[in-house]
Amino acid sequence: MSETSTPILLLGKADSGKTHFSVVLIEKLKEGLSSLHLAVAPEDLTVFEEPRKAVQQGRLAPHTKTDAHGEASLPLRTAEGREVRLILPDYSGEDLKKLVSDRQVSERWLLGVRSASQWVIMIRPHLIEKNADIMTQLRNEFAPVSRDQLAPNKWNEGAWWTELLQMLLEVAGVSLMERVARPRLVILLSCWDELSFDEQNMKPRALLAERAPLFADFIDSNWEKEACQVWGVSSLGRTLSMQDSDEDYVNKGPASQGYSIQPNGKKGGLDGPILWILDEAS
Amino acid sequence: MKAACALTEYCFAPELPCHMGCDDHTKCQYWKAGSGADGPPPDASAESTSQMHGHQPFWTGRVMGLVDALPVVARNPAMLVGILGAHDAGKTSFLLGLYCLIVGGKTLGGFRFAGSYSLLAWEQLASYARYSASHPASFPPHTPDSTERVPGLLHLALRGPTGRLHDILFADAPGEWFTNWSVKADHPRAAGARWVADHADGFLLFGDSASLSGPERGTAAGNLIQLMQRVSGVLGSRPLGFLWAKSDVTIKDEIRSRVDSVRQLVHSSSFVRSVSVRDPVKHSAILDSVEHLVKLILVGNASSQIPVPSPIFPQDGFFSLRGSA
Repeated sequence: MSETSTPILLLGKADSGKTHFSVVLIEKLKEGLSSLHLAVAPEDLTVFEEPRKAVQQGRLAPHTKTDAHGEASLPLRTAEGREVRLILPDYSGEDLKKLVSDRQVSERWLLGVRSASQWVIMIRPHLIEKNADIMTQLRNEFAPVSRDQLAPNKWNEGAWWTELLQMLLEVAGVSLMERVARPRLVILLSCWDELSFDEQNMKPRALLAERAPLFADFIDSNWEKEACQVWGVSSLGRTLSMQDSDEDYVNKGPASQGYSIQPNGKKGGLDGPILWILDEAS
Repeated sequence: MKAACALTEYCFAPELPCHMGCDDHTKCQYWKAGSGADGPPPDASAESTSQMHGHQPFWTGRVMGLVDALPVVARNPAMLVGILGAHDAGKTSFLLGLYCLIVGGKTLGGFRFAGSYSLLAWEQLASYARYSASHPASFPPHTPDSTERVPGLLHLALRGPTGRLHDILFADAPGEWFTNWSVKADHPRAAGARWVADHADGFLLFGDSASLSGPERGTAAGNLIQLMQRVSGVLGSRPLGFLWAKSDVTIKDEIRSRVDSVRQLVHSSSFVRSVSVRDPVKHSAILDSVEHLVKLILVGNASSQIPVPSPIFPQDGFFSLRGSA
């Protein structure tokens, strides 16, 4: 039976949790804790080896080095017996930031964009700076400011993601005249466990609309409803440190501790978003 | 066989620049692969004698000029909104307020943000209004007068209630252009104002409540009335919204009614809104005025389409075939 290859375009800034998501997912697959199965042992997991060792020792993985690009190709069998190959990339979030700041889509990104019809965006809501401007909070101090007095430009989070997607869509040759059906978009709001109690009770799409409203509007305006989903994920299930091992985490092992929040708000396995992606990629 | 780049469908060198950003397309590894025999694209280790700078998008993200607006208008007939008013009337602050509201997730009635190819420019504008530890918020500085003949254009894409994508270009021009133009229609320093007047699909005209209530209010009222007269001469059937800017400031009744009488006289089908950045109650009017203008422009475009008569031949449909004889 021929195999369909599903490369994923994984987009996330530094500290967004891309590496941990992939590492824990692979552990889940290895330990048989998913309805997806590894058909055979993956050929080459080098790119995730260092992070895997850290996580299994109950520590955070070190940051992926700048310019380090790699991928792991996972031969999987779905519950229905379909053979698919999931390709998980890894790279430094700084490289993604450079894309927007330099306004250049390098060859690697260009080819990655064109080969992947499933785009996964990882955003860590807790790190998003809250928008405070004169329209949202009126204060009395207004001082005339000249252009050169201005602090260096810091993009609003929603605007940054909008610009990045606009650039990638252009490179992929996707027009926005009609709503987009391909590429499909999965937004993962990561490190769900570090959110407040109230935030954790929100549906992921609603949380995105609250933290990055411009981007939420951009995707609502431009994607078909069936082609875009917003999930929450917590790959680790708790906060880990880079220095000290969490012994309880070590004992339980990574594979059983991550979880996802489905678009409807229900908790599920970390592989949830991947199942959705593979289900529709056939 | 004509030489072509291996990246078929994406790279159209040499008619267009190399998609990978090579200075010389003939040295690009994808060109080399394509112009040879059929075969797979080269791997990354293949030697390339040309630096691939990478693909740059067609927009810079900055305020657009006519040339960089071309790809935008090529995809869709864009609506040009002329923003008219004297120096310091609040035009740029209005745009800043509009963008900040949209960033905060506000919609314009049934129209929702669908992107912008001027995000860098909008963000720079908004950065004045954002609070941070190092600086308080402020209003943007004066849009500088210049000898440019065309104003900078700010792009905004909106998805409408029917699912249609609308591209809007706001022409943000220095107030001096309009003041010059109102005095003398062919003033040498008013080329930009004339350009806006000629090409806009709709207008937002700003009355500055602050100057209309201050010590120079006599002059301000006179100037505004003069500008309104000048606009009326070129308006035609295009929609116009009259905005009382900085409406947190109260204008004396006599001045307000004088200006409004002129408006009713020369811009009889215009609509009126009171907007303010300082007064949150007036924020929704910022969104509403743009939404309303967009709707009027769309209606105007629809009704200006000329129906094409087509004869009916009941005896034989073949006679209705429209083709060259």
